Formats: sequence, structure tokens, C-alpha cells
Amino acid sequence: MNISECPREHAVIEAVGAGLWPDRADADLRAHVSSCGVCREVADVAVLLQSDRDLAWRDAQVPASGLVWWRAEMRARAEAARVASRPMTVVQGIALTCALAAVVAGVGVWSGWAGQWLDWLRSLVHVADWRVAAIADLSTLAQHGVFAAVVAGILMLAPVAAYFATSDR
Amino acid sequence: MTARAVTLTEAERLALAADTGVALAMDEDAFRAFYDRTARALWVYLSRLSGDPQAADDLLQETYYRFLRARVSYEDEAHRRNYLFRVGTNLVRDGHRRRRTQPAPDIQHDDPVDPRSDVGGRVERRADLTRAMARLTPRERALVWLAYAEGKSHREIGDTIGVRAGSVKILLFRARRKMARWLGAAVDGPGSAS
Repeated sequence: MNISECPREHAVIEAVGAGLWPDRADADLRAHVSSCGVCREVADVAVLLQSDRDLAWRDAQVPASGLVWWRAEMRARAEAARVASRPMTVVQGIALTCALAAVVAGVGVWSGWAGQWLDWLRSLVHVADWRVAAIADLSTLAQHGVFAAVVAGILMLAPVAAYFATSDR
Repeated sequence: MTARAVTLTEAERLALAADTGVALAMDEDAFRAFYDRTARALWVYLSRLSGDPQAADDLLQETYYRFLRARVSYEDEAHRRNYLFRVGTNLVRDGHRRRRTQPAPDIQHDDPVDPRSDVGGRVERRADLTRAMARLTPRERALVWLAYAEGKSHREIGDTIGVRAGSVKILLFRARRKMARWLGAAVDGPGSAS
């Protein structure tokens, strides 16, 4: 594409910007513009745009500088708090994972002890036949009791752990 | 007016700002003085660039916020001002990219018409300008606005929109030809528009 340009374009823009165009502009410049297609085009576009700019400038209602500053400061503080709490969230996540692992391990160990205890109870059953029915009931009750205790523990701990893991504060 | 070339990209500056802390880059008094010198020009620029005066309010706040968070050492007032306009230009451009799948909005001018000076011809010319600006791309709008409304040099425009000064000449020429053609067609009549 051939680019038509003229070395006096900027003088035209300056004259328009200074409010001199066309009546108070330099006569030589006016004569040039009347014979230069590029400068005429520049003058036409610049006059319209600067007139639009002047009108918009006059009617623009920008917020007070203090308000813009205050909002920026508040937002910067909020972002700072968010950035500062990021490592805490990571630590809380790790703590939650460790706590869950500890609970699972504890349940496993405890269920092993409970199993040994129940075996010992069953051995007693063979010795004392007259207690068979009662001990069998007790064994079932103990198994269910372990399960219920684990479920209750998880139900109590999980919301607390989730709260600490996801809390921003 | 001379200006220093902007060497870091916007993304680099924002990343740098995020890494270096949360404090704002100016004190309140300095900011207020700078804001008073630049806010109206920036608002008008954002309004015309985005085509939406309501959006310009939010863009103005966001532009100053990002400007304040950027840790850039400015050589002079012109460099600081160019950087501010560059942040605003990038925000409008990002918004335009997000909305690319939607139809382009019409440029809205809700400025009241001055009853003392404005009669038919001026109102019509303004409407023609509004339509012509709406047909330009955001980058072309930025180019013609900075060149002909703000009177910036090619170097300053390049710093503001993030292209080389040599490219500004070509891009500006194309944008101006389009505008002049559409404005001329509007004057000649709707049937002559290309």
C-alpha cells in the first residue's frame, strides 16, 4: 500500500488542537491544506475528533481523586490479605490430610485390639456354655459399637477440618 | 513532547508488581495531583475507545489501580502518562477480545448537546463521527484518537498501544483513510458508502 504523507501534517494537527483552524491559522498553512489532499483529510478528521473530545472533556464526570485512591488502597489491602493467607491454606490442607491419615490408622489399630478382645471373649464362651447366648449378643454389640464410633468421629471431625481447610482467615 | 520507549510488556509489569509487594506506587498527594492532570483525558479516551461511557467509569478505576500497583520507574511526566494510557488501552483491548463472539456495540455518546452552539449540521457531523468510530477496530480507534484528538507523536502512540513507531505510520494512515471515506460518504449520502 502506498502511504501518502505530508511533512506538514503535524502542523495542521497542532493548529486544530490550538483552536486556530481554520480562521486564525497561518495563511501559508491554509493555502497548503487547500492544495494538499493528505493535509485536507487530516484537518477534516482532526477537527471532528477534537471537537468531540472538547465536548466530552467538558461534560466528563470523573470520580474524585480521593475516592479512586481509597478504592485502590482497599483493594490492595484485600489482595495483600489474600496473598498472605495462601500459605496458611496450604498448611491447613496438609494438617487435614495428616489428621485423616491418623484417624484411619487409629481405627485400624483399635479394630485389631477389638478383634483380639472379642476372640478372648469367644474363648470364654467355650468354657462357659451357659453364657453363650449372652456373650454372642455382646460380641455383635461390640462390633457395631466400633463401627458406630468411627462413623460418629468422622462426622464430627470432617466439618471442622473442612472449615479450617477452606477458611481464608 | 519526548517520551521514553516502554520496554516491559504489561504482563511482565503486573507480574513484577505482584512479586514485589502490595504497596501502591505513589503516595496519596502525588497520586491526587497526577489524577487531576490526567483523569478527564483518560476517561474521554476510554469512553471513545470502548464505545461505552458507563464502562469507562469502571475502566478508569481499574486503569488507575493497575497503574498504582505497577512498579515502573518513570523518566518524566510524559512517560508516566503514556504508561497510564497504555494500561487503559490494554484493558479495553482485553474486554474487546472477551466480547469478540458478541456483536460489536454501537459507540454511545450520552453527552448533552450544547444548545447555544449546536445546530443541525454539528449534530449530524457528530453522529457521522460516532458511526465511523464504531466501525473501526479498537486499535484503529486508539490510533486516530491519540493522533488527532490528543495530538500525540507516532513514538508516543507506539508506546501507548504497544507497536513500533514505524508501524504506527502505516496503521494510522489506513485508519484515517477509512474514517475519511466513511465521513465523506456520510456527507455525500448513504448510498455512496463503501
